[in-house]
Amino acid sequence: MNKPGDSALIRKCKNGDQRAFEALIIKYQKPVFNAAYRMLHSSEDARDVTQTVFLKAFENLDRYDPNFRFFSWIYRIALNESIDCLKKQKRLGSLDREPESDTGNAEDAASAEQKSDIVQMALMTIKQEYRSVIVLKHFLDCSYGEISEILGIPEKKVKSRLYTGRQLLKDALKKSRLH
Amino acid sequence: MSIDQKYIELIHADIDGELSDAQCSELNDFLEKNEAGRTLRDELSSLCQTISSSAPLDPPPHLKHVLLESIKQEHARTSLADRLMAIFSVPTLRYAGAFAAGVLLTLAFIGSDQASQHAFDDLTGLVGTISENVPEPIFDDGSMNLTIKEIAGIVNLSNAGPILVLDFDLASHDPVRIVADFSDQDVWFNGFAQLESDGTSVLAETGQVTLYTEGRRRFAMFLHNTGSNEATINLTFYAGEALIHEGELRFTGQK
Repeated sequence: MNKPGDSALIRKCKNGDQRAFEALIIKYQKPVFNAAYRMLHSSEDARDVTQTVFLKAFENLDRYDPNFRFFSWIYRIALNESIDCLKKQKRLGSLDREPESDTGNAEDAASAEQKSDIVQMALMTIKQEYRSVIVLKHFLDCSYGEISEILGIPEKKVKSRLYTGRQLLKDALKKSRLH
Repeated sequence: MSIDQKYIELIHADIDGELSDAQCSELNDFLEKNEAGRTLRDELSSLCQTISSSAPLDPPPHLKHVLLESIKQEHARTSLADRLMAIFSVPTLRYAGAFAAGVLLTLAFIGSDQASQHAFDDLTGLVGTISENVPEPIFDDGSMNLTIKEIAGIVNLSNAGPILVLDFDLASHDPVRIVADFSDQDVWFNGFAQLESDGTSVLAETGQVTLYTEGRRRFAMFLHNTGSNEATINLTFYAGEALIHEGELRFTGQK
């Protein structure tokens, strides 16, 4: 089932109504940007990915299957684009680049922003297949069923990846003494 | 003490709000009698709170505008392509079009003076027809040729009424950041379009636009020039943090 209003907006988009697509951009730019940022830990890359996601969605709207929820479709594009971006970075050997912000020692990490940075740093240490599930669950509030639809994997696998991802994240946070 | 996998899954599902009533009471019965289970639940619950406490980030304020402009450009491009496809679906016109293209291609070969005697070591293949091979950058008011090792090609400034068009035809092996600065002038960013590629990104701020490019790229940036007055666009090129080139393009008033 689509989120309220999505089906009508998509129908209008398919009929060439650009204002309807604008409404979809307003509705989804924030979650798409956040998903990309959590996957990439770079606002710049997240912005590029968001731009590509909406362009691809616009170009391929005719191929969108209304049996799937629009947000599943667009989140799936966002994750795939983020993964492509990570692969590209790996090819270019830029994985060693400095993260966007340095968190310092967690002992004096008083502010929520610093905590958020530490969580993000820990997130970047785990494999992208686990990270994707954590991002969808904790940052986009998706259910097991929705994650399964977005990633195209069975729910059982979603759960297993989520549990393993959390364990890995917990270990990473322990190292940073946040958890 | 180890915990049965079934209860580990139930604890996760409980935290995720995915338990049925029956599963919920089964888990509660288990937790009442099992301290290790309670510890695991508390730890997981605390971990999930920590993760979820990260507030969602706001996208850059200009992002919506950039997205809408990209969509508009894409829409215009596909509409044109559709119209051309419709025209050239008529066999006679298709053959006439192919013939005309052949004639143009032949004329281009005859008239071209692209054979370089001093081609760059590593950019020749990428640059193709876009760059004259000159040792130093050449500036004139509305055009900038780049022949440095990090980037080669041409940037042209033209106008269409109040719209200034910066046409970039560039090639680089590595990522290059281009900052177009037009602050202190009555000019503002009006749009961006790219041809035959999707690898260039744009960040528009007040009085300044930053473009990121890599490889062979053709793209255009549109600026609204109120009153079609004189305007100067400063262009600065960076490879990583290193400044590799700077110059300016000048529009001398309504043409």
